[in-house]
Amino acid sequence: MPQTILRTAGLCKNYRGRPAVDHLDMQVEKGAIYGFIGRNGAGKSTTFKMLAGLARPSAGQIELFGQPLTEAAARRRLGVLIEDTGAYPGLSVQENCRLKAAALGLEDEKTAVQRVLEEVGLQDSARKACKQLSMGQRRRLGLALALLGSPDLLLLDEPTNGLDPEGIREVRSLLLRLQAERGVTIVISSHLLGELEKIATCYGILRAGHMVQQITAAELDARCRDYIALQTSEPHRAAAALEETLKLRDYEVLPGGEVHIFGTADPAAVTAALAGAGVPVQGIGAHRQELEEYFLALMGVEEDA
Amino acid sequence: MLELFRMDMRRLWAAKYLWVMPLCAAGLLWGLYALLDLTSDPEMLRAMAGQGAEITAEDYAARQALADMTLLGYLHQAMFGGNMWLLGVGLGAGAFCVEDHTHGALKNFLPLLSRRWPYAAARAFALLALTAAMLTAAFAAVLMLAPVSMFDGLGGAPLDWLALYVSALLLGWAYALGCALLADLVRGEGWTMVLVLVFSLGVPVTLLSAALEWLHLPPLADYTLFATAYTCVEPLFEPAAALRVALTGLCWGAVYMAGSIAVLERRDAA
Ligand SMILES: Nc1ncnc2c1ncn2[C@@H]1O[C@H](COP(=O)(O)OP(=O)(O)OP(=O)(O)O)[C@@H](O)[C@H]1O
Ligand SMILES: [Mg+2]
Repeated sequence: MPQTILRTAGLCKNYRGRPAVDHLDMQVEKGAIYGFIGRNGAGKSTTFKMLAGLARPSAGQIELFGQPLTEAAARRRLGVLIEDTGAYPGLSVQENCRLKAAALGLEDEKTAVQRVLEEVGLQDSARKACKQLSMGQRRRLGLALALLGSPDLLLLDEPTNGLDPEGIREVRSLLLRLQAERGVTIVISSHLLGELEKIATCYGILRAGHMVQQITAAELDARCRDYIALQTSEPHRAAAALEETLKLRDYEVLPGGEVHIFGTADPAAVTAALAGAGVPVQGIGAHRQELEEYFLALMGVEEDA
Repeated sequence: MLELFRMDMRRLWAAKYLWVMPLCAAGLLWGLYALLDLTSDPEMLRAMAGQGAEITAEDYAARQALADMTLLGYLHQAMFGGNMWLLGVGLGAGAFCVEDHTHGALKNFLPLLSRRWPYAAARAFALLALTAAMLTAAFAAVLMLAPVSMFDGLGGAPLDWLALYVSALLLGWAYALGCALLADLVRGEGWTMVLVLVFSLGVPVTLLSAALEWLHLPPLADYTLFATAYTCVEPLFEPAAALRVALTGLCWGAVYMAGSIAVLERRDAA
């Protein structure tokens, strides 16, 4: 049975009476890379702030490593990057990291700082003042600060925001390495769903402060089905022909003459059946339902748009 | 808490507070001395008169007044005559403390703490160190003037010097804690510094004492840090005044500290 590293129950946060997080139940297992997704203003950052003890919940409980959040020992195992990087602008990258290392009481500050700066690719800018950093470099510094002290749980709020494509790839491999080598659990919020898909082992979908669904990557994969997309000028006749000759029931007729046929149908057989029935076919191809569509539907984008 | 204190001291040093602020204190005392020396120099006055400036006998007498002053008297006058000491400490403390809020640096280390008081306590000791550094620099700067000064010797017994040092340290520290509370409440760089300036110029105390008088209430404004520094710190050690200074400093320090902890505990840090 996997160990639960992070659990919230009925977590609420109201700002001036308006709920930003609304009875959130969240559960993250050890070693997971948990993709935390939701629209702008869904409450992701607010949730992170409460998990990090920066904002006081209006109601509900938070457990870290099986202990209440008030336990100092549990908090030391946490690394956070929430919204903008917090750093003193006049001090250098290195000095900012040293300050955090001092606060953590690390034994060998110098080596620890050097290591995290290398991990995030900032070793060449170590002496630069923070106010001179580019946006992506600031983000990297935020990551470095979060990684100091070898935390067992990382809370990363849009860590790849502002990074170049190479930086995004570096962060991805860094997170995968941390998870594989040190068993670090990572909760990561991002709007780059395609990027998240490459690393997440499970997802939490947030909508207006409420958890709509928690789903593992494997379950999600099973739910996102293969289908054959068929373009025709007479979709309803095509549908009738498919039901009659191939006994297909699991299909969907979309506006614009597109028909999606789910299941294990063979495109060649479909083409033959339609030709036999005299239905014109403009195009046919095998597809896979995008994760994005799945998420967007749950995040409530479609109906509001 | 020790780790946080080490972190604060590190920042005081790296962000140059720990040597720029003391240097400023020393520089101001030297600069003020040079100005006094120059403007009261009889030859200078004669030269100015020769150029048509209106120089009165009073101006010539100023030199004598300065020559009757001791170094201790000069130090006291410079620090507490217009409460420049509180202003200097307040600006340093306010700038140091508000940086934690304005650049979100708090969110890097507050997640490590389950309570807020260790942060406030570590910061209080760092502010004590900053105050002591500035004060020591001021004393050293004035003592360095001894061989060359126009004043009438050092003046005062060692106890008088010590009393002035301790009074300035206590009042300065308490005031620094007040500015830390201000930074916690305001959380913005510009407004914090403006308010520190307004408080250090004694505007609220003046208004308060006028209001109390108008309402025929006891003169409670005398018990503020500002009024105590202005009226009770003397270059001559006097037990009753020293006790009052000590009590006022400690009480206000405790009040400001409690205020900071309460504000930090109640309000979200991000
Ligand atoms: N300090 C605050 N005071 C008042 N309202 C706030 C505050 N912080 C957040 N909110 C509100 O809470 C809601 C959730 O905000 P939050 O920052 O958690 O969203 P998010 O999911 O992180 O969005 P994004 O994807 O844009 O980062 C928003 O409606 C926001 O306006
Ligand atoms: Mg956010």
